[in-house]
Amino acid sequence: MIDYSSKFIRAALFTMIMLFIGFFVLFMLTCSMIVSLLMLILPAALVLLGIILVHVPFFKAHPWMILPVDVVIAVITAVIIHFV
Amino acid sequence: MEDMSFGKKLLFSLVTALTAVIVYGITLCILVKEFHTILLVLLIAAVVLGAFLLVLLIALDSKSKKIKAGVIAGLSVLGVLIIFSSVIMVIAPMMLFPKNHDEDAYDEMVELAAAKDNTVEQISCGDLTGWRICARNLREDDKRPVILFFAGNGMNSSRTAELFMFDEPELYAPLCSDYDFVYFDYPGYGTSAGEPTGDSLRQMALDVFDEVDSWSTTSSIICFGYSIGTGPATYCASQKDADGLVLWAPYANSYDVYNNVMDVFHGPMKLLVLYKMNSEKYIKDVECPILIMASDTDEVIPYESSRALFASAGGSSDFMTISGIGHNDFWVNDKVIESTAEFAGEVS
Repeated sequence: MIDYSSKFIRAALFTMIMLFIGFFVLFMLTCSMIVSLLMLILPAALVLLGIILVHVPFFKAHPWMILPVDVVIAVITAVIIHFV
Repeated sequence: MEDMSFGKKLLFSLVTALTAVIVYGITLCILVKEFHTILLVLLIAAVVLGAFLLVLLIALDSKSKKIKAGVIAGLSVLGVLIIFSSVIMVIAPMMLFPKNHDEDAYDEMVELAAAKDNTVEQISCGDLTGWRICARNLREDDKRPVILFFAGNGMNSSRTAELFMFDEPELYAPLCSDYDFVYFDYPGYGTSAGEPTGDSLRQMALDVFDEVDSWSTTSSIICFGYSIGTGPATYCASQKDADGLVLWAPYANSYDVYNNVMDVFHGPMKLLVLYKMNSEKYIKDVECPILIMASDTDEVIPYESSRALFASAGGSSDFMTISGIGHNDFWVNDKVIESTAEFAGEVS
């Protein structure tokens, strides 16, 4: 699946964690409570969704398809939060 | 996937969720125009940190696990500090100076000024523009004291002039019946050009004072600051020959303003505060009478900071505690407005 011992993957994960922290601090300081709370609730919900989806036959066969599903949910959430 | 342990499935879900939440953050930043700069800064900082880690991992390939773990932990702490500092340095000026302009109020005031009936006049000083609300009880050529106003960060001159002229003329009458009320927009605000920074605000304060002083009708000048404007007002009174200084909800120094939002700007963290305004220092050089008003329930400027400023003021200074009002309530409080007008009457 993912080779977590790969140096490149580790560096990429580190980059993503730094971005996550940056967005969290940014939204916490400038946006409403719900936007910053979603930075915590959304990944938790997506992890749960991922665990459920890996038991669905289609995603069992194509686990990488979980990523686009998560991304689409995240984009839709961002757009709804912004316009609502 | 079937062969994967639960732990690996969880880790995989975590990585996809992390990717998705970053997309959430990027999408929100793209949708909000003001966040474009910070998005770019964050992306660059995170990618540089990631690349640095990759280089370190390659360089430490032959070293023990302990050394690698130590390096990653060190870089993580450094990374969090860099990311945090980047966010603060980019967004703080943006939050501090939202560069307000009210187009409708501006158009309304332009129309009123065009009537030339000695009620309001559009004024300029270099690249700065603003409004002069003329003393209602005086004729055009009469000499009069001028209240030179330095506003809060959420205000703009057109909207304030509209409030004085149309929305609440009775409430604000004490401030503009026998005095001219002069309000130049900060650089970047209203139709004023430039960027609002500590230096530009200090320079502006001196320039507009000289401009007002050069008017043939000016008999005396009272510097009046509210909130963030108390810094430039105090600086102006310390450098120029003002006749009085009125401060509503003042701060001793800009670190207090930042610390009230997030109490971390101490020691070396003070370097992250780009808006430097040391009113505590300036007020020591103010020779004119001073009136400071502060609320013990102010949610923006700590009351203790206003008290600290008063403690630094020498000579003829007075402190008035207005109990139980919020930061924005100064503008709707009769006692505050009348006390300010009384003080202006005494010193002019």
